[in-house]
Amino acid sequence: MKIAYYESCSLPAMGKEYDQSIRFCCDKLGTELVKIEDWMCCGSTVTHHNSRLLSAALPMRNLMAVEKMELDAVIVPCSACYARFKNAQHEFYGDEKMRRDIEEVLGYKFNKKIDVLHPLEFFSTPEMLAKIEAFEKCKIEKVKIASYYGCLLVRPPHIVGFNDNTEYPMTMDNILRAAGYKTIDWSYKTECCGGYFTTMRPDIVKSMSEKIFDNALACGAGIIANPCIFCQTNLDTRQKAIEQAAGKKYAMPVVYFTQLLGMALGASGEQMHFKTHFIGAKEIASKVVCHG
Amino acid sequence: MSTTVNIIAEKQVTTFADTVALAQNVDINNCLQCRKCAAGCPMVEKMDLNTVQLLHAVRLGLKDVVLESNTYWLCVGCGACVTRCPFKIDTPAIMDKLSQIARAEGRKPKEKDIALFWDIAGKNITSFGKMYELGIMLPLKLRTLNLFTDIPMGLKLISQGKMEILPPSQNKAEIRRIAKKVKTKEGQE
Repeated sequence: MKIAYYESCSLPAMGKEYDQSIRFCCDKLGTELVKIEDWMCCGSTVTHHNSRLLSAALPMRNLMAVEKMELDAVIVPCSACYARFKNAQHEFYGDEKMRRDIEEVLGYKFNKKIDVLHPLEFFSTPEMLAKIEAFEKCKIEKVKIASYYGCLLVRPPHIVGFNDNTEYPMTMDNILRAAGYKTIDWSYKTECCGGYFTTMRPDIVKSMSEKIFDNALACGAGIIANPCIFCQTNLDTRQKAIEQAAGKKYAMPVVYFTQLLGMALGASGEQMHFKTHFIGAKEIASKVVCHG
Repeated sequence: MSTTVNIIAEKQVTTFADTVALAQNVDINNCLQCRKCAAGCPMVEKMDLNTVQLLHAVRLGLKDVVLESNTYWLCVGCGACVTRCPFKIDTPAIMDKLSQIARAEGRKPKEKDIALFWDIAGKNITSFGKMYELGIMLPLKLRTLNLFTDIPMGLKLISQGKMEILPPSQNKAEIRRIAKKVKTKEGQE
């Protein structure tokens, strides 16, 4: 099966563990990812503050490239990009004027609606879950996982249409459980981490992320798994600063869910790049035990 | 969707309300003031006006009250408000428009670092075709005179290959062409 892959701005660098682990998982599960050669930035969480039309035109320009590749679907791993793609489609298919303006600006007439998929949607179909279950079962010794989804992926449901419950999603839990892991029930699954405010108002990000750690700890989690480069950056690279500001100690490893999935599909800890995370991910990866 | 626009146009509450709502195709007159939006907003404690107060002030045409507040700068766009709104009023889209009006009028932003970030990062994207993080961080740090925070973190990210040093170039002629066309088009309207 062939599917387009939106290799967005931060995937090869800030999100390289995510990128590498998605590629590994897709390869093992029989999916060929096709890079969009002439991709460009989707506008991220910035452009919609500056221009409504530009913020819808940029994702549509990428979907135009997918259409030209004669593919029907694209995997968009970054939650921020995913939200912008879905917003653009909402504008394009829901507002006649926007549709005309976008087609005029791009100089292109669209013929079909491309399926925009997040890795969580892609790996959680019944067929995929059955495939994952056929691989090894993994557990982390004495450690349970908090599946953290963040905000951009799930909200608002009538625009992003993420294929899961908006307030209490379960797709990541289902994927990780199919791979044998134990995940917890907790209350901050979709709470915002503060996102891109991290450079301008780190104080806000710290207080928002603090609540996420507090709840994950209180519910018995020893590690947080997530599907978003923003969340990963805030919760992992800023964790020491969050601890200092809060006067608390978390030492909570934060990883992408695809890194844990990759281990169940036969990857080594080395291949899943745990060592480039800031907080204890390498140590926890060494506690992952898988058996057939 | 075009029916939504007609409904707003017929009600004609205030010019300011129309300008804001029409631009984003959002019907703010549906607001019941149930306050579910404000109850779920993670930024509410830091905002001068909470989301429901902001919408109400927009409807009343209290332009200065709205534009002099920090509310629309502090919206992080998490979508809790629009998700829980019984009428799905897209409050974050309203916030976007308010910041555009404020900047077009040259008003002094209440959150100047955030305003600066949107400008620098917006230009960064349409110059390089992809986000060049170091190219955002450096001018932002210089302009805000906040030079020394985050340096250890930045160095660690660079040493691990998680932050690009050299400016990238990703289909940049095309993104510049699109940005220019959008600007011309918006200038006509």
